[in-house]
Amino acid sequence: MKLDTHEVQKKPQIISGKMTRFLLYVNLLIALIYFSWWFGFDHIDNPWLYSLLFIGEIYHVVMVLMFWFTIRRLGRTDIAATASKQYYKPEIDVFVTVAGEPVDIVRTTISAIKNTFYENMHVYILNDSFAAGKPNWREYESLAKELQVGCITRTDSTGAKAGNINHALQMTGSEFVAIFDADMQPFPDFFIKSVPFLTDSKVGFVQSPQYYANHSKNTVTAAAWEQQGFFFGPIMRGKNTSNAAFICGTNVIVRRKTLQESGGINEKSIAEDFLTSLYIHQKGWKSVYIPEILAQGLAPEDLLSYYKQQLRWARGSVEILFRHNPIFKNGLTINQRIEYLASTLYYCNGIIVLIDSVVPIMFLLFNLSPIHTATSTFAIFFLPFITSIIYSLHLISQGELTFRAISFTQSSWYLQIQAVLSSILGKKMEFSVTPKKAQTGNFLFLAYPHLAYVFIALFSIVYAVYRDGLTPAVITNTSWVLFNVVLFIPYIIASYSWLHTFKNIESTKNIINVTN
Amino acid sequence: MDTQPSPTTSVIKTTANFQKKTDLWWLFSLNLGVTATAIVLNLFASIRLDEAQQVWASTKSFIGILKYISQDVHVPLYAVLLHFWIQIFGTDLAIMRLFSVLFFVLSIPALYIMSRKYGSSNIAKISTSLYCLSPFLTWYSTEIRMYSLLTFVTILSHLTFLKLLKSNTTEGKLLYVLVSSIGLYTHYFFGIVVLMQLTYFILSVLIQKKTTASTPAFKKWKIIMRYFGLLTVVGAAFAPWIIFVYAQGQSANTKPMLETPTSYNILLLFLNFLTGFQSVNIQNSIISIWPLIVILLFLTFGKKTKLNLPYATYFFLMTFGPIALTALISYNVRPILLSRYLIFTTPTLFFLLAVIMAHLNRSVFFAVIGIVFVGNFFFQYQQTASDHIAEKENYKGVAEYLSRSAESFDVIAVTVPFTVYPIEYYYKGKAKIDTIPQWNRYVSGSIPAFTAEDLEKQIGKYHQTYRHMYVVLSYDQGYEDDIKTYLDNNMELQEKRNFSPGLQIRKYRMARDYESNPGG
Repeated sequence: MKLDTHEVQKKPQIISGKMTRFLLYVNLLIALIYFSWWFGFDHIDNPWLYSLLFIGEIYHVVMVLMFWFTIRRLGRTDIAATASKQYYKPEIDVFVTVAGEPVDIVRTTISAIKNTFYENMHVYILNDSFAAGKPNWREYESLAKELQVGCITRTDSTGAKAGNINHALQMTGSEFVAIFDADMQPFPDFFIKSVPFLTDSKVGFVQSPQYYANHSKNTVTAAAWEQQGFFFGPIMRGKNTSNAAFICGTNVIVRRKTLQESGGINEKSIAEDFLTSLYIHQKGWKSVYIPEILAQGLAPEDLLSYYKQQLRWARGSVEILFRHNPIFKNGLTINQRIEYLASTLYYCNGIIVLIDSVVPIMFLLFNLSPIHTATSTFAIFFLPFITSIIYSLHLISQGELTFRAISFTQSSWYLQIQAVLSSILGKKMEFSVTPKKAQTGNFLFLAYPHLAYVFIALFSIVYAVYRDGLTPAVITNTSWVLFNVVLFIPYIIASYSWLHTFKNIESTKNIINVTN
Repeated sequence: MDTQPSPTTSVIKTTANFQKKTDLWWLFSLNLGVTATAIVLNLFASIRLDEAQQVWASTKSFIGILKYISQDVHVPLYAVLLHFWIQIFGTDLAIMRLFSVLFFVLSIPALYIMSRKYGSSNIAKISTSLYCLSPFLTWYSTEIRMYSLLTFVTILSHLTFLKLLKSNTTEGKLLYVLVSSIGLYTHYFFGIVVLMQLTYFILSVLIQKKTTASTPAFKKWKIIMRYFGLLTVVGAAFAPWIIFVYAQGQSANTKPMLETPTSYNILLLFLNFLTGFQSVNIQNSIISIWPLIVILLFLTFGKKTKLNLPYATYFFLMTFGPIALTALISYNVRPILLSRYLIFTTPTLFFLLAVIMAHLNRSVFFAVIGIVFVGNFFFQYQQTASDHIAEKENYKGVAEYLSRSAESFDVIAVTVPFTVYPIEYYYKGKAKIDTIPQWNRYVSGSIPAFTAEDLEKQIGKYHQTYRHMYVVLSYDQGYEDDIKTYLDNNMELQEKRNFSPGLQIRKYRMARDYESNPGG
């Protein structure tokens, strides 16, 4: 069904929060004052623990400074839609990458593409299902015939999704290429909003957000969208002001010439889109990020799918940090280097979360403390710092970055550490498509590290109270441990159907009563 | 810098349905009853040192009040008003304390109006609940000092200043000048309120968002200069007092010596505001759980509703700015950080807490409000009943003991000298009351410095005249140990009694023995 040109579909809005320069400077001052406390080395007790925490705080402060850097020009230099006054409708090859996703989802995507307000395009299903060993690979070819679109079935799975796209690039020839994931359905105005930016011959690609239509389905989808919403809101908008927005794998239109100059979509990295963007920027191309939802897809609906997705992103980003460090890349501006570095460093957060979680346990169990002064001194510096960050995040995200999202971010420490270790050790990680439908099963194993922490925490609290009584040091460290436990709770709850268990217990009781 | 409030509707969306929960109102009423009981009990508690000094000052003539207050490094408004209150209602302790209760009661609707205007009705209910129930404010509502008046005037100052920002009318300007002048005559620390308002005004004008009709730079400076003009009028109203103080000369040095505050003291400040005065163990335990504040912050700001508070920067500045400034001065110049001096930050503190609480989701809100009510019950009880509170000064007990025990041939030596006021207030005995160092408070001038030679001379005279010496020790000004050491080494310590934390009587036998040498 083709929609009327003037019909405006109701779409959710991307986060458009911003911060005043005054508040930015205040936050910067607070961060620097906080950081200065860590250089007062006369309060060190255990140097090893202090060093670990010190490294952690360097990381935090650096990330905070990078975040302020990213969002500093929001609201002042946001990209405004610069609709071309010319009648510009170039030929576009539209790629929909599939590797075993449910056919009905792909059907909806293709239909949505065909319903967009744009005619001059050739749609192709890039069918990697055969190469991936999926039994239903022929269904995509049937679907393509049914919907009268092209289907390029690959027999060789080299390079996973990147290889699939590069293969298709060799078999097509339009000036521009649009890439969609199997579940990403563009809205009717996707092309008419994106294409005008390409009239600038220096623009290499135009990226728009990934919106999850199923975000309210459950805790996992909600948390995933809240994280994405923050990323595609202030973060990407901020990166855009530094010409550092990067390709996110879908909902993007790329100039063919740009890809050719940059060696195609990079097949060596699991975060192929991220690295490709880096190469594109190295070549001096401009990128455009449109802070408007122009397509919708599906969030991972279960914790395992979420875990796999996050692990892939973490591994890809961390790999770039170690093997393609943007600091040393020629051709990037200073702003771009900072932005790429910020994105790669983000996934090192897991190490810091682990350190911060373990330090209070070390005191409770072994009476080891990083500092010997009263923690009230630390509180005077820390509380303004953390308050300014939390409040600013709230302002910038317009309330969309919830405790749940932060909890899932912090609780991803385990997979982030996995990503870092496997990257350092050079272990190969296969590209795996995020499942588009909820997987059934018990995912409690994903929360084993968190549950282990909870049990260790409880034991250590009891032990410390038995050993020292309710001293201020015991109480403060217990508070820190409880803080971590509270942060992990939403993630632990999402890993298992606890209500189902309780219902089952009730059902079992009833059965027993009846039989008795 | 801050968003402007909608003129007719509350801009804060809350989910806490405070109004419909009658159970909550019962709990609130119960706590209010507890607070009222605490206030009534406080009315009859022993006079405190500062109160005794205040009463002593306010019973003087008008010029006498001004002279004494100027040397006491305070401002005279409260003392003068108390003077007239005493003239009308007398010097009964409870009656005099009711004068402070009056300002506390007046500040409740004032805070409600402020919270309603710049928050919402729910926020107003929560903030005034917190205010009414605060053990700290209960304490100072019944103290014969200017602190409840200071708090009341500060709330009026917020109202007049914010009104001035919104509508630059002559009436608004006059009100602001009047309230500011009254504030400055209430407590010197009100100057910090004016300073913070000036800071906010300048920043908000300079950082004004660009609009379609943006204000050129010279117009911005014109606006600022007009505000300075208002402050000049306030300054002119306060100038006579400054001139008078300058003409009086040095201060009387009748204030306890303060120590340089630590970070613990800063956290303790906030704890005092929320829980009043508690024992050291309770204070340490509560301060130790400070990391849990971070969870509260996450729960508040991690909620899927934007917290949009008009004049957020102003309320934040008025709460934390004075504390930060006072702490900086205390560390770098001279210790001045005392919770009562900063009592004027409590209205905006409770307002901000109310904003946070109103923003919590329903279940968390009721959990928090439940903790607040139960906590208040506990803290009010502890503050009223416990003997381990450092701020409790049982001078009444001291005076009653001395009235019973000291005979006409004994002497009572009070140190530090300014603590003579509360003792004299209750003392009905026959023994002479003196001070160490010796100080004639009827003569203008500061308390003499302590020297070991003067102490020796003074005790030497006592040996020739008296049989026993009762030494009352409180508010160590750095020489208490010297006095105790000298007396313990040179005389026989017969008895030692503690009346409240830091308040002790030591009884010594003098050299003169009446039985063996009745003639002296």
